[in-house]
This record gives sequence, C-alpha cells and structure tokens, in this order.
Amino acid sequence: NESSPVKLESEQKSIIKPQKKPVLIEADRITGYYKQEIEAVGDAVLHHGDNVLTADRMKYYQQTEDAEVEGSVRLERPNDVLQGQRLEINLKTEVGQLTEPRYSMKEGKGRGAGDILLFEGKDNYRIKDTNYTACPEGNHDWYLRAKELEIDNKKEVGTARHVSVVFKDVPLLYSPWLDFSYSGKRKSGLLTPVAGYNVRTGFDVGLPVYLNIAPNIDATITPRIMTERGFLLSNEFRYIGNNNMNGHLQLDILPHDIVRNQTRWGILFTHTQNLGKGWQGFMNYNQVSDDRYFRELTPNLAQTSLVNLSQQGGVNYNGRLGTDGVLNFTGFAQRFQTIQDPFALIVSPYERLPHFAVNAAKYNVGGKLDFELQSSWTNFYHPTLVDGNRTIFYPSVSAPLRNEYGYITPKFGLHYTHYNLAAPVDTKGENVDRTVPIVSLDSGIAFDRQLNLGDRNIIQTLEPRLFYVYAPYRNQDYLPNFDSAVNDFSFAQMLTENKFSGGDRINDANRAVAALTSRFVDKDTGIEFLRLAVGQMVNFTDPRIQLPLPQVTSGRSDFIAAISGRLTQEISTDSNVQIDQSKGVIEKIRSGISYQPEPGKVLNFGYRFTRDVREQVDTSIEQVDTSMQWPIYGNLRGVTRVNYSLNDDKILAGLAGLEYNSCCWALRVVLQRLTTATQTTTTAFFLQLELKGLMGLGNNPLQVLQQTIPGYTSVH
Amino acid sequence: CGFKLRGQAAALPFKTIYVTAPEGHTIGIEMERMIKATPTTRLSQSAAEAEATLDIISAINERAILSLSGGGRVRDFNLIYRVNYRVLDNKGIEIVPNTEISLTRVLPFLDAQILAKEAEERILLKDMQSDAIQQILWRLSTIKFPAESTQ
Repeated sequence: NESSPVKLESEQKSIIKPQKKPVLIEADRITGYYKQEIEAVGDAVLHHGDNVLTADRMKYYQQTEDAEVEGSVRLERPNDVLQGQRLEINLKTEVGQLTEPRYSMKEGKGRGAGDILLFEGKDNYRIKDTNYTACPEGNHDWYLRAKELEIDNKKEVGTARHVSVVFKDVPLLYSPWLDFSYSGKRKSGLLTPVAGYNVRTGFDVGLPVYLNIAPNIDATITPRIMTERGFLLSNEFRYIGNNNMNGHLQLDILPHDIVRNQTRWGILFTHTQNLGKGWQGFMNYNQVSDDRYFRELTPNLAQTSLVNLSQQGGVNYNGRLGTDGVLNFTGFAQRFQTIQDPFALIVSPYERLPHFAVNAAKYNVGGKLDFELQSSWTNFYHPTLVDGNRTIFYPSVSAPLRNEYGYITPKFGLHYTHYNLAAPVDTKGENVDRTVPIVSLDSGIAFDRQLNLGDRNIIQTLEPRLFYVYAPYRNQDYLPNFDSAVNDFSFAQMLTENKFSGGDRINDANRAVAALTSRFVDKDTGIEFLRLAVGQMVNFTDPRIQLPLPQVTSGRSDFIAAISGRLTQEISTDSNVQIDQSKGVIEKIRSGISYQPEPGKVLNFGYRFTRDVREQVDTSIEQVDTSMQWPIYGNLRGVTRVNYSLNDDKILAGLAGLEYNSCCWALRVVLQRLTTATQTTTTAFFLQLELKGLMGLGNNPLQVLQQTIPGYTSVH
Repeated sequence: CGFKLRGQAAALPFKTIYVTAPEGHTIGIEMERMIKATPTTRLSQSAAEAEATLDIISAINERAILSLSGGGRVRDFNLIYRVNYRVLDNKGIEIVPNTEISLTRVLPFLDAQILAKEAEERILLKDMQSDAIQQILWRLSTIKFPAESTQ
C-alpha cells in the first residue's frame, strides 16, 4: 500500500505533461503522487498518441514514462491490436513486454498468440513460442508454430525462427527461418511451392523464390528437384520501362541430367522497345540444349509443341506519308533452331539474314487514285537448300469509286521479282526474274433492315461482295521456294489476289469470288452479335501453278459457309465448312459451340476435320475438343480440356484441374497427358497448397491450364 | 423483304472527332481513314478542337493452340485480336468507358511453313483489324451525343 497518496484531481481524468505526446488516463478511480506516478483502477484507459491502452488497472510513472498494466490488457495501435495479461512498457522508447499475448494485424488477416511479447521500439516486436495464422477468428486450418516471431510494422513483414508450418494439425514443413509479408505486399521471399510427379522427371518439387528488385523489375528463381533428373535451376526475369519497353527472360539450367548424363538448358527471351516517332525495336532469342529438352522437362503444351525456336532482332516503323498515306518499314535478321521429332523430320525454314521491307500507300491522289507499293529485299540462307537473295517490287494503282451505298475498286499492279541464287534451280541460271501483271476488281454494296425480336431492336445487314482477279500464267518451276505456301480458303484469304502467301509463287488466276455476309447488330448499342456468311469461288480457267508437299490446306475448296456469334445470350458458335464442289466432298469443317451461362461457367465443344493434310503422307485430321470451366460444389471448381484425335484414336492433350478455395487456403491438383512427339506422350501430376496470407502465389498450374480454355474467366 | 440500301459507313454523332492510338500501330491510321469516309464527321488534328476523342488504348494480338497433330505439333492456331477503346468528350469526360472488342480467326499451321504462315497471319490480322474498326464505328454511331439530359 502506498503511503499518503496525493490526490491529483477529484474527477476521473488526468492530463500529464510535459511529454511530447500527451498522456491521457481515464478510469473509475485514479490516485497518484504529483509528477511521479499515477494509479488507475477499473476500466482504465490510457491514450498516448495513436495508441489506446485499456486494462483493469494500470500504473504510470511520469518521470520515466513507464507503464505497468494488469488484467485484460488491450493495446490498440495504428497497425495492430495486442492483448494479454500483464504489460510493462516504456511509452517513450516503446520497449517492454506483454505476457500471454494475443496479437492481430489490422493490415491483412494475420493474428496469433504466444508466451511473451517483447516490444523492441516503435515498429518492432517479438513474440516467443507463438503460433501465427491468417485464417479468420475461430479457424486454425493452417498456422505457423515458431520459437520466435519478429514483427516489423514498418516493412509489414513477419520473420519467424525455428518454425513449423502446420496444416490441418499436420506439420508439413520445418524451417530455421521464414519471412512473409503479413499485409500481402509485394516483397522478396518464398512463393507457394509446386510439387508433382511426371513419368519423365520422377517426383518433382519446385521452391520458387521471388525477388522484388525494383517496382518495374522482378525475378523468380526456382530451384527444382526431380528425383529422376537431378537439380534444375529455373530463372524468370521480367521488366517493364516507362511505357517504352518490356522484356521477359526465362533461363533454365539442369547442370547434370542423371538419365542423359549431360548438361541441359533452355533460354526464352523476348524484348520490345518503343523507340518513338513510330519506330519499334524487337528482339527474341530462344534456344534449348537438345531436341528432347521441352518434351522431357516441361509439361507445358505451349512449349512441348514448339518446333522452330526463333532468334530474331529488328526494327519496325509505321507512320504517315503526307496527310493521306501510310509508310511501313521492317528490317530484321532471323534464324531458327528446329527441334526435330525423330519420327517426323521436317525441313528447317530458311534463315532471313537479313530481310527488309518497305510498304507505302498514298490515297486520294488527284481525288481519285490510290497508289500502293510493296517491296522487299531478303537474303535467304539454308544449310542444305539453295541459298539466294530475292527482290520484290510490286507497285499498284487502284481507282475506288464509292457512293453512299457501295463501292467498285478496279486495281492494276505489276509484280516484279528478281532472284540472285547461289545455284540454279532449273536450267535458267542463277540470275532470274519474273514479272506478273495482276488485275482485280473488288465491289460491294450494303443493305439493311430492322427486325424486332421481343423488345430487342435489331438491324440485319446484307452485304454482297464480288471480287474478280486476273493474272496470267508464268512458268515458275525455275524459282526456289523460300517462303511460299497455299493460303487457307477462308473469307479473308479468298478475297486476295494471290492464293499463295510469301513471294515465291504468284498464282495464275482468272477467278471470281462472290461472298454474302449478313450481320445482326443490336440497334441500341451497335454491338454485332451474330454473323452469317457464304462465299463461292469460280475459276474460269484451271489454275496451273501448284506447290509440292507439304501443305496444311487443300487448294480444292471453292465453297465456304460460316456462322459466328451469339445464338442466344448463353450459347455462341463459331463454325464453318469448306466444300469442294467438283468432287462434292467436304474439305474442311471447323465447328465450335460454347455454353456460358455466367462468368466462371463455360462449356465448349468443338469438332474439326481437314481432308488430306499433306505433311508426310496424305492424312486427314479429325478431332473433337471439349473443355469446360465449372464450379462443382461450393468452393470446389474444376477445369478440363480434352483434345481427342478420331483418326489416331488417342488423346492428344488431356488436361484436368481441380481447385478447392477456402477462406485461408487453396488446394490445386492438375493432371495432364500430352502427346509430345510421334509415339511419345507424357503424363504429369501437380499439387499446390496455397496458404493465403503467408506466401505469394507464383506459378499457378491451374491458371496455365485455364488459359487454354476458350471463354474462360478468372474467378479471383 | 424489307432490306433497303444503306451507306457503307455508319454516320457518327460527332461533327468532329480526334483519334489517338498506340504509337507505331497501324490501327490509328486505318481508323482515321474510315472516319474520313463517313458522310458527316470531320477528323480533327487535336483533342481540344474536336467534339470527341476516340482513344484506342491498346490493340494486341495473341495466339492460342487450337488443334494438334498426332505427333503433338500445332495444326491450327487461334489468332485473337483485342482492341480496347474509350470515347472522351471535349472536356475529357468519358462518354464511353473502356470497352474491349475481341475477334478470332483460325490460322492452319505447319512448322515447315513457318515463314509462309507468318505472311498469312498478317492477312488475318489485317482482316481482324478492319473488322474491329467497323465494329467500333457501328458502336460509336449509336452514342447519344450530346447527351439527351443536357437540354
């Protein structure tokens, strides 16, 4: 008992100076010695700056600014709330301790309890023998059990020592040290690991570490251990510059492959640079150590299907030519690494070392004429095929006649090509050229009408188009084929002058294409929701220029019909069929139908057929493709995709993923089976447990899978 | 059956319009050409002197694998073209918020023809670009401008 306490004030309030921040104490009863100490009992509240301390009883020493607090202690601060049994703290230095502490962060969901909490200055404290979780109150699905947890409120970082990660009461992981952002701020540290099994790699665990290098630069370094292959270090590096550049580098290295007894590596690099005034620079460099690299080490369809890895650098310019014209320039050098499938070898593409192109157009010259020029110079190099350089010069003039309802555009052009070859292709020699005049007539007209479907006002258009092209036959057998192939027969490609892409073949043409398009447009919003189209090609003379193997499109189609858009609010389709009328057979079908009742729910079904793809031998492609993204039950949702080949009678790509999303964790399981080469498949399984609020989510295997599903929407 | 002749280009509700687009991209220039062909709208040289600004925020193209060969090689790519645009009035207030138009075309593919397919891809991208421009103009033509409430 204190002897003769001096009563400061008769009310239950007391303001003590001269601290920098005033201390205000309220309680049922306050006693104390003047300028020495105050004792507050019963619902005691102490205000100090932004901090509010409540307890059953507290003692405050004005000289030293020490506080001793007991019974239902609760300290509320800007960043957190701390509760406990007994608190001793110096208000000036914020050094002290709290027994039986319970703490919770205001930023984020982190909270926990421990043995003792040690205050170590304004923004730092340390809890001994604690558990920590970001699950909501009453839920302990996961927690950290740590010998010590240090909280830094300035960095919003927690650092645990001698820590076990416990999930559903099962300890999953022990670490001498672990740090995390309790507020979910982007910071360097561990990301959620992915574990898996793959027949080619064995058990496979990746522990990604995120490095937040600068606000616009980051890296993810993933040590990956594969029981059958060894240790692989995966490095991903990303950067963006102020709207003028961005880049991505993936550099993976497996120093010693246990099976192959060699070093294996892969590099995927892209960079684009906006140079200003319409100029852009671009660069990509992709290379792998060997042909089986992707097939054996990456269970990712986008990579296992890669064949030609581009290594390219160049610039591009798009700008104006006067007030009514455009000018485009492209220059680059490009070569490839061709990944071979031993059962389906392909001829690697030509290297372009370098390629320059200038395209220009000047419109409304004299109010009537449009002039265009397409030109390029390319040096083609190939280790086994004939090399050479090629110059193309294709000027043309057109006279568009246009009124309110339609247009007619007659066009005349002269296509000139010169080759300078290392060796002759035919008997004509190394210096050869070709000149083809090309005449075309393009015309179109548009009608529309109003339809009322229920309360919807719809405009239906009817847009007939007629296109005619004439180009005389020129024997082109003495020319090499550097970059030409037959274009697919679809609406965009059939309305072109040359059915061959690239510059080495110019078709002999005397043909007309008639197309009829009908669009359905919502009158109030202008949104086109459905389009029907038919097209018919008529050859007045039989085309003589053909290209030998390989071809992916047949040149025989002459009729096409297509429908695309929304049939109802929930059902949409994109389908077309190509028919060879002379034989009366279907050359190609591509059909897809999607049911999407709401975001996050989509069902797709597709059927594709192509007759006689001439690659190695004449084979048809006949496939069905189904995919879906669907919430299964409650927090469980699934995604699947199956691409099944009817003529090979096998699954080309089968992907399935499940995600369970709880309030403070998510579990993802992904199973996939991919055809990676002829007679080669790979089966892989991944598992990822994300403890929300503990680690950032890096590589999300389900996300990668979802992105292959048309119409998928992110649920997060 | 009720069809009437219509103009090729929809009339826009602005007397003058200014177009901004990502630098170095052809969509801005092509859009300006199409607007010039409309009967009633003139193109302005700056946002200040135009009734409205059509801001083409981005025009990007991506490709997704659509079908595979029996050996796991790509046989069809799905080309995806996304344009984002918005429309601002003379005071810089959004009349049309950020809107996305997304179009797709199929590119049949053979790895041995990668150079030829690059040229074919350009044809399809150009086709999607003019399709997108047409669709944007359709949508712009339905804007009530000036807004009916400002009587």
